[in-house]
Amino acid sequence: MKIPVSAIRLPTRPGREYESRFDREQSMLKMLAIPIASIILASMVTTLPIFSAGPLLPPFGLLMFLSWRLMRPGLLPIWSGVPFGLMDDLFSGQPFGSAGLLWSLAMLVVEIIDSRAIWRDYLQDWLIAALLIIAVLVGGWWFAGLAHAAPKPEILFPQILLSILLYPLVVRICARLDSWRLAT
Amino acid sequence: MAVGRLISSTASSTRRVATLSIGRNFGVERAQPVRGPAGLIGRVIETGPTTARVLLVTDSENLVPVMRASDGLPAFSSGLGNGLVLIKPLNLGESPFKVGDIIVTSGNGGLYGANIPFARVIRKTSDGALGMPFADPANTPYAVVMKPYLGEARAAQQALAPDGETKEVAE
Repeated sequence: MKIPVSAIRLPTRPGREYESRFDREQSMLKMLAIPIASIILASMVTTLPIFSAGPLLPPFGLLMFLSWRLMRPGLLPIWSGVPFGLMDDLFSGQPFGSAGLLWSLAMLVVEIIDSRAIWRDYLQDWLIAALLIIAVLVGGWWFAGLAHAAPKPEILFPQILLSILLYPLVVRICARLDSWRLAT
Repeated sequence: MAVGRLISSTASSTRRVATLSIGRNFGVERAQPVRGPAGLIGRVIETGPTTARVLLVTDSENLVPVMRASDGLPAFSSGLGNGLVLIKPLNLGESPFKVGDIIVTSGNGGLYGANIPFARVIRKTSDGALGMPFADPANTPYAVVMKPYLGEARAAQQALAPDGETKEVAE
């Protein structure tokens, strides 16, 4: 028997057989919560039982924050460096407030770059992120040494290199999260 | 005094601070030395209800009075932030250390008791030596929080300070 065209069914996801298949809207909760939760969870990576002799673990919170900002301009407000940075300070071991200032300065820098160079490609974003990672890590080292004895700045080299090389991976995770965020 | 585990560290910061799995619930207080089976780990700098933070000996802020185990040569150790410690002897002139020298704590000034294994000299520098601490926080099954060495004597001495300034040194 010939199947009429109207009987062709699109594959449906289990549990959603009776929902409308067009004119759907994203969940507001998902749209807002996924960027916030992913940045905070990335900041909390330092609470895992990871022991290193020196500063070696890349600042995943900063990487995730920069990825969201560079991949989706306009999603994070310009003041969002303060709350996310302060949240990162709770877990990173840096003096409280250092990331709060440095991340919002990084936001301002990206904002200025956005107004000058509007059409950018991925490599340019990576370059911007690399420079900001260097600036934030060196700034964090300087803040940690303000009130206490600080180690030599050379010990930051491995961490800076690892962070710059891991940025593309974090951008890909971020892009996956973004497509999940905007899926209907 | 109390035994816990190291559960986390500031792996992305230039400060070397580890989190201990016990806190005030087991009587852990500020300024108590912490050691592991292999040697000295650091000192408690903050306590919470169930956790405490330990400043590791490899932090640049942590200064430990030490001596050479073989002849008691007095020295000070300060962290370099990269897993090594810099050991500076009190005597002047050329560095008397040799690669392989065993360094233990001396107990001078209190806080850290004497003869806790501390580090092994791995390189001689012009005015001291680089040491590798025996206690590796990544490979320490247990961390023992101890009472401050000569704690009462230190407190009494600080209470007797004639100028009153020493009293403000809060550990």
